[in-house]
Amino acid sequence: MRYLVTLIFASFIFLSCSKEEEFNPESAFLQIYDDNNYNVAYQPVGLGASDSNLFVLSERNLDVSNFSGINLVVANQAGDFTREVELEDIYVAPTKGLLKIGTTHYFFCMDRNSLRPQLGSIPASGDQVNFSALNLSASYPLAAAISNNNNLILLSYNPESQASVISVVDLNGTVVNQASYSIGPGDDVRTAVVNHFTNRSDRLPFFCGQAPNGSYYFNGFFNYTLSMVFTDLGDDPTGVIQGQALNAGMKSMIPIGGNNYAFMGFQFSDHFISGQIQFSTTGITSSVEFFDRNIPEISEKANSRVVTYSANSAEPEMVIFASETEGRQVVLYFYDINTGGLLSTYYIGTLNPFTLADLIVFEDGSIAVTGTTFLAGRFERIYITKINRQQILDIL
Amino acid sequence: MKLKSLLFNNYRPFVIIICFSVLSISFTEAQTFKKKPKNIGDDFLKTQWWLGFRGGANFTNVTPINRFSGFNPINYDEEALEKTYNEFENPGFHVGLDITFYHAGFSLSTFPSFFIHNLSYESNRLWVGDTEFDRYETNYAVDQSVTFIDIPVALKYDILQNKVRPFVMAGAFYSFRFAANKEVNIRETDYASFVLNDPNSIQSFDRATINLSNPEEFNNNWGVLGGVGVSFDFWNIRTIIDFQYRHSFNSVVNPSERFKETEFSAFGELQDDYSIQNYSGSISFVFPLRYIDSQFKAL
Repeated sequence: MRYLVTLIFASFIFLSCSKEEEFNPESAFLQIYDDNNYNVAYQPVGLGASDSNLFVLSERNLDVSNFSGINLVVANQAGDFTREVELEDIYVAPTKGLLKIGTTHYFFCMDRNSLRPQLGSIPASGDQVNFSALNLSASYPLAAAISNNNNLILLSYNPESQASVISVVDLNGTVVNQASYSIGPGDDVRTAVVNHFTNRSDRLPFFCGQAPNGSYYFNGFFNYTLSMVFTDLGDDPTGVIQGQALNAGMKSMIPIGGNNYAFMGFQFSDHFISGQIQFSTTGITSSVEFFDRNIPEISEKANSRVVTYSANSAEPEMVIFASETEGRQVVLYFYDINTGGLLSTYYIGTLNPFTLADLIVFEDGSIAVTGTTFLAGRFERIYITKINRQQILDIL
Repeated sequence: MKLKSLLFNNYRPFVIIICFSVLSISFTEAQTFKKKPKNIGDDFLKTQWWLGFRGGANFTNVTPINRFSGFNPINYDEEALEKTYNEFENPGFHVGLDITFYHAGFSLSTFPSFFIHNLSYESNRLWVGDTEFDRYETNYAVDQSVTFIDIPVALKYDILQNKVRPFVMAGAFYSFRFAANKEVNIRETDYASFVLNDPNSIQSFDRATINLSNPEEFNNNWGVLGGVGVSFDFWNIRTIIDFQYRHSFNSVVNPSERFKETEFSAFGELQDDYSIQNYSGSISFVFPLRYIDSQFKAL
């Protein structure tokens, strides 16, 4: 009897004192940032992370302009809301994505009066946003990227010369190199570019970057058509992958070594993805030549982002495409960059709709996705979801 | 192999306790058989093992420890998102075994059971604009059910040792999470056609009911218990009726699951950290294991 009592109570003490599973609230979460104003809507465009903060660059509607104003939402590493910075309404039309160089995040936007591009920079503290005007004439900022030598690349549209302009800009806002490619006469493209800024349903998949071999590329207008353009910043492009007016072309693309790229393309309402393909960066081809298989779940006007990712080594092993589905979820596709094959698929969102704005990778192998969800099905609010490396390994 | 390993890891402490309990019973029995009792009737009254079935109903209340919300408020107070818990409202049920060792007025009992706790809470959201029409409300009504494999140990003392024996009891319990299910009913109210003093102008409707199992949101539980009861014998069966109060101090909610992207968090439903308090009423029918006489009657 004594033996039994001792044993049972010893078991209780052991079980009661056993340590619970360690949990780090910064490693994985879903956070939704709610505003109680019935008439407010947030449209995030970029996500960034410093050692202590997460930044969401967001558009907001302005009474004084058809272009969107800019807000910066700051959260801590666990995703808890810290503050919101409403930038002066003179600054409008931010480029998609936040570009991190060192500890500072950069983006481009536009002075709504002069239409002159501005370089915005956010320090690691996120206390304020600094602006410097670019030495460019009026030009709508369409997309931005980081160059191989840690300068910034800006794709813009010059409404006066009706040209796509690709500029290399240093971190002080000085244009150090530039090329301009005529789109052709007529107002159709200008209307499409303005609608891209003012009507969400008319947004276009502008992006730009620099390949490892030094060649620049941009997805923008060339010869009346939304096209993928390769250039060494000479007078003429070195190569073009033509779309079809506004109805076909590339949605997102990333170089994965040599002349290999991973991309998502669209052909009217259809979409196609390649995890690895070799592009000729010289000559003229058409995006429809790469259309092999439709991915029906991706919605017609879906955003798309792509990043390289490595779960097990320093070298990229895969790419992650993020996009939006007809079911109003965000979908992540994991593709092997060596075989080009699909590894896995992951969905975000259930009852309320979820949209995509940006996708980033952390040094520890976590990823974070931002976009909007519609609370009660109607109030558009920012969300951030972080998925840690172990969860990704489980997905794969 | 993986499933087997998983089951063993999850319920290892439970298995250990059961094994040791069985061994202890066997050990006690073995010791007993070595000794020739001098007076069976006296020994039966003084020392006895009882084994039987037990079941009952219970009511659960929760005490929030840390409050959390599925939304991160930008421009309003976080307290507006706090949940309101319904106290001891939804009955739960439990069923299991009753194993009691009795000696000279004292009993050491354990009643391993499937113990279902049912609890419920509500939370509200409100969005307002410039006009009285710009108003929209959401109500989340949550019914949470959690089933534990409950291993209590209690010491009972018979206040009177007559045919009807009132007793008091005190002890502790450890509960292994077994299953959980959450149902969220979302009801929304739209003021789009609001007319002052006309309640019919406010339109409320059920938007969705989501019912999913969520065992991963819970940890094992432990705490203390106390109670009163009465036992009486009928034929060779002893009937025990008792009322217990159980109090746990730690949160039963698993924090590592709280902020993960799930079907529930995707629309802003997260659990607080909370501990469980529970009132239960039970009835046991137990049989003596030792020294049953030729008429199979309890003496």
